[in-house]
Amino acid sequence: MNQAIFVASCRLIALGAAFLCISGCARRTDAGDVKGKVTVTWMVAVDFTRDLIQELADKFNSENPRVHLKIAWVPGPNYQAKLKTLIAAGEAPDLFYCGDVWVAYLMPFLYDISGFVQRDASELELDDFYPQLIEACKHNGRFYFLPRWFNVSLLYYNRGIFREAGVGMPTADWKWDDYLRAGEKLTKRGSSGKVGIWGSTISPFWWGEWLTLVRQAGGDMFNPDITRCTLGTPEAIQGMQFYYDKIYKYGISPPPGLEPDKGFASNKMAMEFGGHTGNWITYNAIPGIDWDIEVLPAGPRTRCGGELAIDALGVSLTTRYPEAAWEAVKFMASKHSIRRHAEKGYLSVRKSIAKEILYERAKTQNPHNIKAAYHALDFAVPIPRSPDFIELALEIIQPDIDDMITRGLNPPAVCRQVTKAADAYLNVVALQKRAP
Amino acid sequence: MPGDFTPCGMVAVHAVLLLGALLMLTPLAWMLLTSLKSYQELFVSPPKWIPEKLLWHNYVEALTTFNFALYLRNTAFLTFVTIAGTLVSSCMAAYAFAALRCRGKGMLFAILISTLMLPPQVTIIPLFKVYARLNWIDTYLPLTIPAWLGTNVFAIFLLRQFFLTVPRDYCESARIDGASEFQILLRIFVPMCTPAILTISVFSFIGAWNDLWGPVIFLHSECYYTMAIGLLNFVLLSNQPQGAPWNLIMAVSTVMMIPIIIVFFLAQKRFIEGMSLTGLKG
Amino acid sequence: MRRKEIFWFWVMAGPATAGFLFLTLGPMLYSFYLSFTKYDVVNPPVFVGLGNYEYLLTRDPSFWPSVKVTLIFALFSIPLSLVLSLATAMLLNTQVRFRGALRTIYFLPSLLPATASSIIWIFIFHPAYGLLNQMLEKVGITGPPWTQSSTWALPTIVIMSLWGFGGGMIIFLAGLQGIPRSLYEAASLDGATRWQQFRHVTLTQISPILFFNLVMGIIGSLKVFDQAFTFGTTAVARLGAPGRSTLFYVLNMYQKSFNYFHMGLGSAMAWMLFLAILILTVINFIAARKWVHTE
Repeated sequence: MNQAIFVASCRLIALGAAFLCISGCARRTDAGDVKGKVTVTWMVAVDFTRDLIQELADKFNSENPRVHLKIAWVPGPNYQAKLKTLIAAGEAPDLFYCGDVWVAYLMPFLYDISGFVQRDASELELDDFYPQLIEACKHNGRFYFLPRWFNVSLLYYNRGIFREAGVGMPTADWKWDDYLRAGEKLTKRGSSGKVGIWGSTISPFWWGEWLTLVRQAGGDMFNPDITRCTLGTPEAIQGMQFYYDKIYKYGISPPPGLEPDKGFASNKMAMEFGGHTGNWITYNAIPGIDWDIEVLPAGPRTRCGGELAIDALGVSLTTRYPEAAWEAVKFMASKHSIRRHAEKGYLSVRKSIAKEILYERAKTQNPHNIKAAYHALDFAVPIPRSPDFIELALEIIQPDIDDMITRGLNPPAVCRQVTKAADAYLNVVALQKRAP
Repeated sequence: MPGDFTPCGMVAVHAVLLLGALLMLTPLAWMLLTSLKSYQELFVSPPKWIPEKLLWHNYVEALTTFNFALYLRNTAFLTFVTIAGTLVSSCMAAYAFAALRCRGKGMLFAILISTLMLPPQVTIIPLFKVYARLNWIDTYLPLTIPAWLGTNVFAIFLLRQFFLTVPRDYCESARIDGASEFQILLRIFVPMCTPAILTISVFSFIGAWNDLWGPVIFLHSECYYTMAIGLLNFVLLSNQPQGAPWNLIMAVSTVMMIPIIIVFFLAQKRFIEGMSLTGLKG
Repeated sequence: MRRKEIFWFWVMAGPATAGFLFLTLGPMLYSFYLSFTKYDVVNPPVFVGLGNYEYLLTRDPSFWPSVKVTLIFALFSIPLSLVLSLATAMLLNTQVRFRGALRTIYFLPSLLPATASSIIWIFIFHPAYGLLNQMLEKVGITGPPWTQSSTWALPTIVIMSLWGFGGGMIIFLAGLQGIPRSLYEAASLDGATRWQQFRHVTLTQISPILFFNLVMGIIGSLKVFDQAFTFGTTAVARLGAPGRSTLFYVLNMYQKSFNYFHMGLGSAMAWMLFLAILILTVINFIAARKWVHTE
């Protein structure tokens, strides 16, 4: 009997060992550490800049004698979840993607790099950065991240379609009316009522476009201290109505799902309102599209309201090597890095590189009107800086606006409804903050 | 009886069934044909069924654009460990409940079976918290350990039903011959119940291979990705302004489905038996 | 001898018992506690009493819509798939040719990964260049903007889910094959019409299976995640979109817990799901006694 127990125990132990083996295989290994160097980890969302980031990291590692930069790839949609989990486990990466959309959300975990920025100001050539971008990298006057590239809302237009329709090209002093009238003239309906060419794109399912229009009409999503939703004001409603009317009144934009399969790149869209600067290379790769950019048309109140999105790199509050992490941040914002980004088609955050590459390229390539991209910085407005902004905008407000745009619901009623829902949420947040 | 139709009626039955089968196969055929098309052929109107040239190269391109070879390996590894764990733990538990006596056994079994209806979503948050504390997030442990701890209650239930049919005398005489309990389980019960074990293997294969919920919550790093999240991530990132490369997406989908289809054809009988048992025993 | 047997019982049943205690019972109780707290993973849980339940039931703009989405899905997909699977099973239970091949074709889709099959369907349902709308256009119908509209997105998912009716069909088929032929012969001697035979023989005989498929269907539709997650991620790039039309209950729970880290709210939703399933199961079993035929 004792022998049987002994054999059984042995088997159990073997099973346990097998178990541990499996666990061992599954555990994270810290491969990639380099002797004699401080290793800092940068968690990056996998996207199509992957090769570029790897290239820059390799260059940094070969040049920097003291710091080794390790890249941890995380698929984009999981980025914030992964980050928060790692922070909760006390294993935050030393560097992470930041950008102005997330800065308020990430603020409690970000290292204040103002000291480093001031110390190395001359090496960084802080004056070389566009001042609007530098402003957007600050929160309450302190630096938390430095930019790699940016995206700014612009009006894209297809010169071919404009020329064919005999419509004057967009200019920097266009207003909503000019945009509408051009859109109506450019929209071509076939005999069956099917639209062959649309006047303009519309972007559904997120806040980008309607928030811009609301702001241009003099409204906003929230009051300045983000305690109340202000989408119910007459100005905000006017902006939302315009967004809606593009489809349902003027018919210059396709309802969601009916846009040509390649959007602006299909050569069947005369204008694109907003759009991503990262797509420039794609547009240029498609034969037969002659396109350019202009600042957004002005709304009834102002031209300001477009989006300014900065892709940036921040340092974790809990990093053991802030100095080393800073080296990496500095390198990613250096002239070399910005030049490589610009060569890959991204907008340069540095004046010198913009001049050296983008303005040169504009002489032979679309978009010729490159200065509009930098002019647009004057009209861009950062999104509200609240840690709850993403959830409020995407989960509380946006769903009703989806319904408005896909079902054709009445904009003023939708505006009032989302205001109520957002205020209820903000009340809960306020209550929780007051609670001990 | 409703099964008896006039010849005319039988023609109608055949027509309906064949038409239905055609409808069932359309998505798969469309997937396969799309995966072999060129990018330009994707967006033509009216749609083209047969591609001009069968571009098998799409598969190479799709599998190398992202780390799909790695995702396949990861999924295979996870699936294998899950099946092994399910078999080991549920055979042991089923043996205990079928062949061994102990006070409170019936009660314990009833409680275990009652969790059959429990959706995994109910326990996910505390488990996440515990795994996070153990530093298990972004490892394969949260996805594999539960299988080794007999959380596949259905497997235990099914195996116990089969084990109960093994004559008691076999055990007794084996025990008298000095066989240990593990030996009895391995030498007598397992060989006599291979159909049940195969059934459980194929169903846990499907479960693990298709799993999305677990990997979505517990895995973050790209290097641990399974096919399911790899595929989703691929679609998401390839939503380019010039239109998504549906041919490549369909190629990846096909690759993800092939192992299931192979296992299905190898063990079709087991699947059908398993499903039938589910219904009849439920 | 007896003590040895008890020892071995616990060795054998040990892993499963430990799994039950640590992976099921413990977490369930703990999630009950968490449902009364505010917990964001980074900071320790703070007790808030019934706050989470109160917020979900009275103020959360997404809770009731997600319940509604789930119920509408159940209301359409369960009866449709029951009818489809029973009808197909009955047709297959005749002297039909290629029976094995047909059974395979009907059964296979239910085993395919929901991720991949949803993606195929999303492609087929694409409003502008999807196969379906292009075919409809050929016969002169302008198809709706399926995946891109708050009105049509849920019907799209219902249709997608019907593709997997084969699992239920196999179970019905097994049941039908178990009905003794003599019952039908007796019925037709009594002059029963075909419909009466179906009602009084077939339906009565397979009622336990019908009931089983119904229960599984209800629980399955309360747990829908894979299709909804795939749809949200790939068709519209936001979970639950367009609007909240595909925000299934479990997807909403996932979103709250793992995207926005309201683990307290998530736990409260998990517990309400658990209670709903418990109540449904109990009701079903009581109802089953009334109308399910047992030997």
